[in-house]
Order: sequence, then C-alpha cells, then structure tokens
Amino acid sequence: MSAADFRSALAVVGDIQRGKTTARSETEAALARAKSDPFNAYTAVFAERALVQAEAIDADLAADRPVGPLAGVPFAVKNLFDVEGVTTIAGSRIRRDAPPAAHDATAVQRLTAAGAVLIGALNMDEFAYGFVTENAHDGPTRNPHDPTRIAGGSSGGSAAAVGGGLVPLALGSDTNGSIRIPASLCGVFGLKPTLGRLSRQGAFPFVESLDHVGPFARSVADLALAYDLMQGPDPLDPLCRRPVEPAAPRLQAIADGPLRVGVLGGWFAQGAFPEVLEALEIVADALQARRGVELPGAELARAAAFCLTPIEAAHLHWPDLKTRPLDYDPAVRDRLLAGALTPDAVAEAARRYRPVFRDAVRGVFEDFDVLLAPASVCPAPGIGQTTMEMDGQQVSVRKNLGAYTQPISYVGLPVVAAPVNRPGKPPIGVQIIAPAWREDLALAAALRLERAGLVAAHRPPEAHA
Amino acid sequence: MATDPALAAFLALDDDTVAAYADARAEALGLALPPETRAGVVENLALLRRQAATFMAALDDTAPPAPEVFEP
Repeated sequence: MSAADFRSALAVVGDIQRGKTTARSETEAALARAKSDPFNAYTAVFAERALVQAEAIDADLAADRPVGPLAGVPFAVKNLFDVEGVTTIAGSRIRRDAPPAAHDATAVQRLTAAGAVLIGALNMDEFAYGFVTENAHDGPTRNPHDPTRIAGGSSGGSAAAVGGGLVPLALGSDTNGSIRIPASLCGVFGLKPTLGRLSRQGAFPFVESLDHVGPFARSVADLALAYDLMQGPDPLDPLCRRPVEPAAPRLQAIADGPLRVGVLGGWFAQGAFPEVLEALEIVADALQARRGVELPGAELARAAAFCLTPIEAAHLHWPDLKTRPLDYDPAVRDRLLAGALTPDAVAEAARRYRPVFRDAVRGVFEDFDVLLAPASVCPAPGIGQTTMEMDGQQVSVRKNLGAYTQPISYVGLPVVAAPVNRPGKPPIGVQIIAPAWREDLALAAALRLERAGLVAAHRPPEAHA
Repeated sequence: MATDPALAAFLALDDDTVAAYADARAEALGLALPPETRAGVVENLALLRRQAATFMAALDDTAPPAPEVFEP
C-alpha cells in the first residue's frame, strides 16, 4: 500500500497552513492509500469530490481567504452516512439499488464546512447490527495490528482506517457499542457522545432510541475538535436541540484539576480477559480511581438493550423481512427475524426499565466525575471465530463483545473509548464514562492519561501497515 | 409477573417450546421463515426470551406503559 500516515488531523492542518504540503497533495495521498487499502476498510472512494474540495481549499489559502479549522484534513465515514449523489448502503445488499442520497448527512456537512475532505465510505456490519465487521457482502475488515483478527464493529471500517494510517479522522455510529468496541480493538480513540448531542440526520437508522454518531481519531485533541465542529441543534433531528458547548477549550483546565474517578465492578468485571483487567488497572492507578463501584442494575440494563435492539430494528425492516429475508446477511437476518417474532410488550418493558436504571446511574455520579470500565471483553478475536470464553462458558462473539458497552448506551451517556498504551501487545481500550452532556469530563480524563503516555493511538507493525 | 397475555406466554416458554412458538407466531404475523433461517431464528428467540426474563423480574408489570420522554 501507499505509505501509512500517522500524523494527527491537527498536524496535517499545521503542515498545510505552513506551506509544507497542500490540501491537494494530502488528498491525493489519502486517495492512494484508499485504493491500496490492505484492511478492506473502504467500500467506496470519492476521488472527484475530494479533489475538487481540496483544490478549493488550496485556492482559498493562496488568496488568504479564511479556511476552516480542519482545512485539508482527509476523513472517511461509515457507509451508513448519506453522501450526496451516493447510495447509502448501510452495509447491506438490500439498499444497493436505493436512489442516491440528495444531501450529505448533517455530520458530514459540518465536517466538510470545517474544511475536512471526504475521501470515501467505510465497511460495517450490515445495518450496524454486530460487533465484528465480518460483512457477508463486502467481506471482513481486517485489524491493522493483526490482519487475521477482526477490527470490531459495527464501525470496523472507521476504526481500521484511522488505526491503519489511511485517514486521521473518521465517523461511525454507536447503538450498543459500535464506536467503542472497534476503537478499542484497533487502538484508536472514539467518542460516543450523549444521545441527542450530535445530529443523526442522514445516518441510516438502526434503533431510534439507542443510535448515536461520533468520531474516531488518533489523539484526544483531534477527537474533541471533530466533536465540537459537529455540535449544534439540527431541525432535521428532533433529538438534537442542544446549543453548542465547545469542549476543546476547557479540556486543559479540567485535566489539570481534581477528578473523582471510579472503576465499575460487578457486571463490568465479570468475564473480562485478564489482559483487559490489567489494562484497566493501568488507567485506574493513574487516575487514583476508587475500585469496585457498583452500578445497580447494569446486567438488567444490558438485557433490556439486548431485547430492545432487534424488536425496534425489526419494525424498521419489516417490509424487507417479509419479502426478501434471504438478501440479508445471515447473521443479521436471523436476529431481526427473531425480533419480529418477539412480542412488542418486551420492547415496552425494556423502555420502562430505562428510567429505573437512569436514576441508579445518576445516583452513582453524585460521587464521581467519570467512571471507568473495559470497552470490550477481550482483545480482537480472530476473523471467523464464532465463540469465546466468558467466565468458563463458550459464548457467541457477535452477541457478547458489547457486554460492557450496552448498559451505558442504553441510557445515552457520553463515553470516550481510549486505547491503553501497551507497546507490542494487542490493543485494548477503556471506557471513560461521564454524566449526560458532560463529554468534556470524559475527554479531559482521556487528555490527562494521554499527556502521561498511558493512552495513545497504536501504530501497527510495519508488516501490517 | 407479566400481566400482558402475549408477554406472559412468551416468558413462559422454555428452550424446548420456543421452536413451536416461532412457527405459530410467524404464521400469525404472515411472516414466512425460510428453512435456512429457522434454526438461527429459534436460537435467537430463545436468547431473547432469557434476556427478557432477566430484566422483567425487576419491573412492576402492573404499571401502565407510558410514552417515553427523551432524556439521556
């Protein structure tokens, strides 16, 4: 492949603004990397659009016209985001004949307005249902650190593209863990914001009450900047009404101040592989965290989210489930069909449990600013591996990688997935969980750890990049 | 304890009776289950039943369902 590039987005901006390179040159390099992508991260490349935008940025710079804070930074998006003129496939075969999107998704619009250059669309689990990105139609995305292993999912292409040096910034979505799991397994930073913080307009839906969108990046500063640039109310997303609350300018001060940190025990420690708990301890020690904090009802919250997901999704997919079930990825199809057969009263009950758990979580946050938990049960499983061991039992990889992420997204809390710096070892991430609307606390805790060298985006071995 | 009859019937299933439930429910809904899907659907349905039983035990099912208000 073309040489991988591990500069941060802000470093790319700096190089362009200092005249060391141009937006066009950066775009051409990113397009070359996309075309020789060794990870099967990309499913489409938008060369013409990217080059037109890059040339416009270079023209603005040459004429001393103002440019956006991400001017010339290549980025890519999970292929469930609308891109004007492109069919939004959402990892499926079923949508390949759908008409092209009339407009970019709001998140894509906002990053583009900030000068970021869209390079292409990225692989995912079909309709975002899964944690593995072993897509039956587009093939598996390979982990940049070991191509025999999965990238995680469902935003696996996004994490692999950032972790593998293809682009410094990517967008994904997270319904039950689909940003946090692949970020953890690919050794990059990911942010799942508070539900309702970032507009989901133009992102193909999966589960209305659980869907979030968010960025992947190689540094906390890049993550915070991309997040800030996508904030703001969107009349096209009824949940997205919050005014802009920039996090980046506040992070240094919060990171330098006291932070009350707890480590979730109970459900969040059961079944985790020893190396996952070791990685968590590194972070917990650095943040002087109190251990063994109980989040009452976490297992029940996970069960509720687990049930809500296929039932709500089956409603969305009902027409296609009735008429063309065999066009789905089998691993997704059987779960959606099971959801269709489950009484709606189960989903209603799952929604009724949500305020119960939300109150319990609020109670815990009275004593803490952020809570820590593993992002995934284990480091990346192998491609094709269907089961893994949890607490001495063989369980499904697809259904259990998100055991620690599902309770948190069930109540829409913001989480930074941060890659623990363990040189030479497979990537493992931790969840840094904050109260609703306090993304700044999670980002600041991640920044403190990054400054101490304890979390860092992992550079894959040369042989794999 | 579930008072909704459909929910009560679902929660009362065991792993041996889920397959028959799946067939009957699919027929009632007019949903054809292709043969290659049936084993996977039954396995997933059994898992959903077990998960539903996990959190249903913590709920007061006599309270009427109310529309959920958006609140993260």
